[in-house]
Amino acid sequence: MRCKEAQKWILRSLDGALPADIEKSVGDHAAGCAQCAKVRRDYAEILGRLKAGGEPEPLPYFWTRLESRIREEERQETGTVWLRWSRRAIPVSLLLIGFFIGAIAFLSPAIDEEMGQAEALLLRNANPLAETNTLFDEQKNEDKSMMIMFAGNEQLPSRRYRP
Amino acid sequence: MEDKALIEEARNGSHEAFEAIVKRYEKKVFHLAYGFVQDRAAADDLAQEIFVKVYFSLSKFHFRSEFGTWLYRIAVNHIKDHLRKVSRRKEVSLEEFENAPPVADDQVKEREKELDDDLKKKAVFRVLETLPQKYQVILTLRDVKGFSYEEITRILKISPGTVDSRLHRARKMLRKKMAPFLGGEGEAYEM
Repeated sequence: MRCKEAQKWILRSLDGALPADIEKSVGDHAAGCAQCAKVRRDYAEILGRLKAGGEPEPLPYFWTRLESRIREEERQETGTVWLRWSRRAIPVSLLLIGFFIGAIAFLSPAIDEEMGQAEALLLRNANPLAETNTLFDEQKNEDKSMMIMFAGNEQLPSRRYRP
Repeated sequence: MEDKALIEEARNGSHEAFEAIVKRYEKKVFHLAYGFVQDRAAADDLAQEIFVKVYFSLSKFHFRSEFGTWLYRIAVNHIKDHLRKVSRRKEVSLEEFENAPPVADDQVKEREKELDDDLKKKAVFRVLETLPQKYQVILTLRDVKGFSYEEITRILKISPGTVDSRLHRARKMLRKKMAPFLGGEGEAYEM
């Protein structure tokens, strides 16, 4: 058996017993090979140190300390959940309000608005000041009053265009 | 009472049930943490943090694996995070161990041997800490805590082949780094 193979089996042997024939071959090789014997000793020593017992016990009152820690975490968790929820809720509610306002504006029925007399005349390419000028041209106050009264009754029924 | 029943009760808010779970696994989790950090207070603190995590994650446990495996998985992941944070990757020098208080009196050979054993044990763990995390984890699980290949496969969620190759690489690396602390003549043939 060559050193490379022997050391491969030495590594394998750390996880359990090797087949008897291989175990014997490795043993025979290690007996005559200082390097492989040292590899064997090294691994045995390292694993021995790693496995050495003497583990201490947990500190006293493990559960009592843990319980208070859990309660503290729960309190913090509640606060965090609320904060996280409100951080998400604010923009969402703003978005909903905007959407609601938009929906109302879009869906509400169009309000009919009547045009003013001057607007209606301008729409028909008529001079809105012509009548006013006539009014100013009148000499008698009674005629002026009568003309104002009749002008009010002569309003053109026009409505604004709404898409 | 079985784990499953206790878990169900704990999920429904029973602190007594969770207490029973903790008492059942407290030492195992503590010893696992101790295997990594080799410090009683730090291991205790880690064990507490692990159980807090477990308490808040109980609802995510769907009984697809054994509770112990699931708990160890959480524990190992938490310990890995801790190791990453502390990142105590120090180069180990011989001086540190050579500067240990000398034991001159020939009559206290036993004490000398104990001290030597203690120093060598510390050296192994200090060297272990300097290995890449994945090797540190697998060596601790297998060679310190003695978990089987199957258990390691389940805890780390890696294939048996990966466990095997990683473990062998880790052992070789550890031996190489331990060379200055191991007695004997010269370097052995490396595979």
